[in-house]
This record gives sequence, structure tokens and C-alpha cells, in this order.
Amino acid sequence: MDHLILGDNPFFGINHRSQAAGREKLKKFSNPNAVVNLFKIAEEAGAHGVMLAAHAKTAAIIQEMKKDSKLAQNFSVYPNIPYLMKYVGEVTRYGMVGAVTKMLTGQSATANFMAMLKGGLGVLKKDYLQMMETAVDIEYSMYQGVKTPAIFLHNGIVDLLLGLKMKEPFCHYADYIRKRYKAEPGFGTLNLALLADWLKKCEIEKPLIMAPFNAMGYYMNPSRVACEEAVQKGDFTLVAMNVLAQGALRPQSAFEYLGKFEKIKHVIIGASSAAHIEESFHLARKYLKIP
Amino acid sequence: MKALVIGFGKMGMLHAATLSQLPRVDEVVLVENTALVVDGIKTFKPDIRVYKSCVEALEKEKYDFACVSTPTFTHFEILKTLIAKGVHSFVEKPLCSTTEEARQIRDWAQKSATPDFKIMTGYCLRFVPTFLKTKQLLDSMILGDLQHFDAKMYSSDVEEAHGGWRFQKKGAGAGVLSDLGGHLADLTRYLFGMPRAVKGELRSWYSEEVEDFAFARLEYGDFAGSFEVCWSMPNIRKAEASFEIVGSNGRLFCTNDSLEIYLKEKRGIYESGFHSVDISEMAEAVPFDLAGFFYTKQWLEFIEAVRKNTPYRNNLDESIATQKLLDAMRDLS
Repeated sequence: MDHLILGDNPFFGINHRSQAAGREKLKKFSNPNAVVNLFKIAEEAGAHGVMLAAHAKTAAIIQEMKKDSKLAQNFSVYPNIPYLMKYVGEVTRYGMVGAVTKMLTGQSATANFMAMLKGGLGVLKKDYLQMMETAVDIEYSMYQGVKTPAIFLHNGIVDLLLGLKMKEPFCHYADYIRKRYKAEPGFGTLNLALLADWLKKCEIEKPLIMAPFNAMGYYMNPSRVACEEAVQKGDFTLVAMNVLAQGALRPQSAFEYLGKFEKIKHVIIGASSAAHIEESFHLARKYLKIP
Repeated sequence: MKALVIGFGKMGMLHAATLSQLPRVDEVVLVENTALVVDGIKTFKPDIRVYKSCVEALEKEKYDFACVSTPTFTHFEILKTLIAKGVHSFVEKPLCSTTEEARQIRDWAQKSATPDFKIMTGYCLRFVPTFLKTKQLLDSMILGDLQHFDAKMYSSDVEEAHGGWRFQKKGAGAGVLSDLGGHLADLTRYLFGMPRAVKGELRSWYSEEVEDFAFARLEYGDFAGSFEVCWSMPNIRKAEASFEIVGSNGRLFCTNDSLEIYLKEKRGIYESGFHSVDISEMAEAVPFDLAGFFYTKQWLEFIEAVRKNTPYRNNLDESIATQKLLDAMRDLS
């Protein structure tokens, strides 16, 4: 797992402080070329990869990235799957069974033929683990051709499975990602302390956990103190996100705070300009003592 | 406490998972009859009890409260059964299909053998800090005399014809007005009260039986507002409510995540000029967060009300008022 990772919110127009600012970013990054140019700027500033959610624009970004073979080889892409908002919409439109069948039998735009066949069989046999593999394959297909050292499961799915106290899907996901994709399994969450404990019970060794971690305690559930203790005592690798608390924290104080935790060596930093990248990456290297 | 979650669709899953992680909840039992879904749950959680119907679940076991997360047109009958059994109920929004049904539900609830019978409707945006702060600011008259407001909520859910229950007129309770409109009507009523008069307009481009768009002009006497919901708006990542409110002393704009104020003159602690407050400064940690901390806050308030008879938001009176506002917009189409 790389240390300095570029965040993807600006590319998809996500700005929790201001919708207008989000729309501006969406316009700025409407061309995949603009996104890939930012990857290059980030790489020059010392970033090693990008967290890239499955999204309607992701396939085009990956295609653009592959035009630069040096970038495609050197700059890691960390998929965050599935494209949850799409499936939430499909469940609204077609119902739960309709949405699952649509995705796994290839009626969804992203499905490829082999995955579709496997998924269709999974639905017929009610083989839920096979359905999960199919869903992963379909989602991963848009990332083919670039380096993906770890594949993250979206926090919406992780926290749903965690809430329902299910173990097998976590274990199976971890095994499947390691065997099929030779990559590390990662888990996004808004419930860091609970998930760390649960993955230990699932006996998943040294998992990667991507979770908010910031001086304001924003999105740190059940409390900032519990998350800090989890990091200090736990046997997992934290990939810290929301480190600037949606821009509410100044980079200097944000990274000073992270620097207090010796175990934090991986951080996702959202930035949309060279100046922001330069400043944040410099501070991250300084306080986290990372290359 | 033991909870019964009725319906394991999108919202039922979310509620069952959240409840399972809350400190006061010891057990969650489900009602679901879709074989693919039931088998899926049983595969990964063999010890969970899943009943095929609400009636069966209530015959076999006792519960401290229930969560109704089935299609809107089924709420009326399910609530009738739950009230008869005295099971406090949380119901996904909207409460039911019409004001008439809502009043009948209130009659049943008032006659319940269970003292202080509780029904909460899941208008979860009432637990979002930016809207709560907006209400507080309006009450403090920071904007002076209100002049007008624009309330909006959009999504990109419907860009072609669909056949699910949300798109069928069967028993009403469908369409964008019941979907996004429920949240926005509830927030509008919370912030400004009930309007004196409503002029509504519904339109459809994709759905054959229900509206894809609803617009209403709300008349309050001294001020007026516009209300607009659409689930066919292109390129909306995530549905979000917004209010732009104008008064004699300035303007306020709020969404689920942000709050911006412009004041002509100083009021209270707010100097003249621009102010912005964002959710990262207002959000609170919760025991478990799945898809939004406000869902958890909503549950904590309901559970506390069931346990200790404390006040709670979105009770029957409030839910009926919201239903009346929705009906007023629909009737004038």
C-alpha cells in the first residue's frame, strides 16, 4: 500500500461544504484528460497513487490514463467498489431482486460476458458468494490495465455487512481479492473502531481499513477517542481519509494531529490544484515521516 | 429491547443493520417474503428469525417496537395490525397514502391499550444539523421579516419509464411527491408552518401513472414560498434538499451539508455580511453510522421515547400535518 494517495472527490464534483464548489470541480474535471493531468501533477509532487471510486466516469479516466504507459505502470489506482449510488438508484427503480438480477445477468451497462454468465448462474443457484464474486468482477472490469495494489470495498457495503454482523462476506471478499486479483483487500468504513474489532473476529490478517481520521473527530464513530485507541492498539493498516474534515481544518494542524499517531503512514488527500497538492503532500511527508 | 423490522428492501436493510448495532437493541427479527432475499440473509446469518408475514411474526413473538419499511400503500394495514397488538411503531416516510388514512391511524393509536403509544415517521432530514440550525435562526428573527423562500429537492432516479411500486398509482403513496416530496414538505412545514393556501402543479415525462415533477406555490400571508421536487433532474449525484430564504435583513441558503447567511445588519452574535457554517462543525459522532448519522439519531430518539416516554420528532400529529400538505399539493394538480 502506497503512502500518499490522491483523493477522488473533486473529479466527481463532491464537495460537502458547497454544492456550487462541487459543480465547479465537476466542470473542471469533466474531461478525463484533466483528471489524468492532475494524476501527473500529484505524481511529480510525490503521490504514489489515487483512490478512484467506481463511477460512470471511471472507465474513461482509466482509458485516458493508459495512453501514458509510464503513468499506468507507476501510478497505482486503488479501486473503491461498487458504484454504490448507481445500485441504490436501481434498487429504487427495480426493487431489490430486480436490481440484483439486472446487474448479475448483464443488463447493466458495465457487465462483461463472462461475469454475466457466472452471475446468472449464481442467481439461478442462489449461490450468494458467487454473486458477490461476479459483482466484484463486473466492477473491477473498468480498472483493467492499470496497477491496482489494493481493492477497497465501499463503506456503504462494508458498514451494511458490519451492521448485520455478517462474517462470511468479509472473509470471502478478502480471499477472492487476494487470489483472483493478487491485490490486498481494503475496507472503507465510517465505523472504524467497530470494524477493526469485527475484522479481527473474522480472522482477516492485517487488513487495510480506510476511514475518516481528523482532529475534529468528524465522521469518527463511535467517538474520536475510540477511533484513536483502535489505531493505537489494533493490528490493521489505517488509510486515513477526511483528514482535513471537508476543508474545515487547516492542513498544518490536520497533519500535525495525524503525526501524533506513529502507526498512521497512509493518507488520502483530496486536492484539485497543483498548489494544494504541493502544500498538503509536503506537510504529510513532514509529519507522518513517510517517503 | 427486541425490534421487528418489516420489509428488508433498501431502507429495511439499512434500519436492520443500524438497529443491530445500537446499545439498547438486543435482537432484530425480520419480516420478508422475497425468496432470493430471505435465502441470502439466512445464508450469512443462519440464526436470524425471518417471518413471511407481519401477522405471523406478531403471533409468534412479542416485540418492544417495530420498523415498517414496506411500500407506502401497505403502511395502513400493517400499522392497523401493529397498533392492535400494541407494538410501538417507526414507519418509513410517508406515514401512509392519504390524510384520511393518517387520521384513521391516529384514531386507532389513541384507542390503543398500550399507554402513550408511539408512532414516528422516518422524516430523517429533521435530524440534520443544518436544517435544525436554520430553524433556530429563523425563530431568532435573524433575517427580519420573511419575504419569500425557495424549497427544492432533486434526484436523477427516473430518466425512463419504470414498473416498481413507486411508479404505480395502486393505493396512491407513489410518485415523486411521496418520495422526495415527503422530506421536503416535512422540512417546509417544520421551518415555516402550514401555508394558508397551496397551488400545485404535477407533471410527468417518464412515469405513466405518477408524477415525476411537482411544483407548488405556498401562500403564508406576509410571505410566500415555492416548492419544487423532481426525480428526473439530470446529473444529480445524491438527492439533497435546499432552501433559499429571504427576509428584510438578508438571505439564508441551506442544504443537508452547508449553511450560508448574508445579513444586511448585525443580529445577535452575527455581524453584518457573510457567514457560513458547515456540517463538519456540527456533526456529532454516533454509536453506528450507516449511510448518514441522522438515521442513527432518529433511532436513538425513538428508542428513548419508547423506553422513557420522552418527546420525539415526527410524531403522529406532525406526520398528519405533513400528509395534509402533500395532499393539498396533489389535489390541486
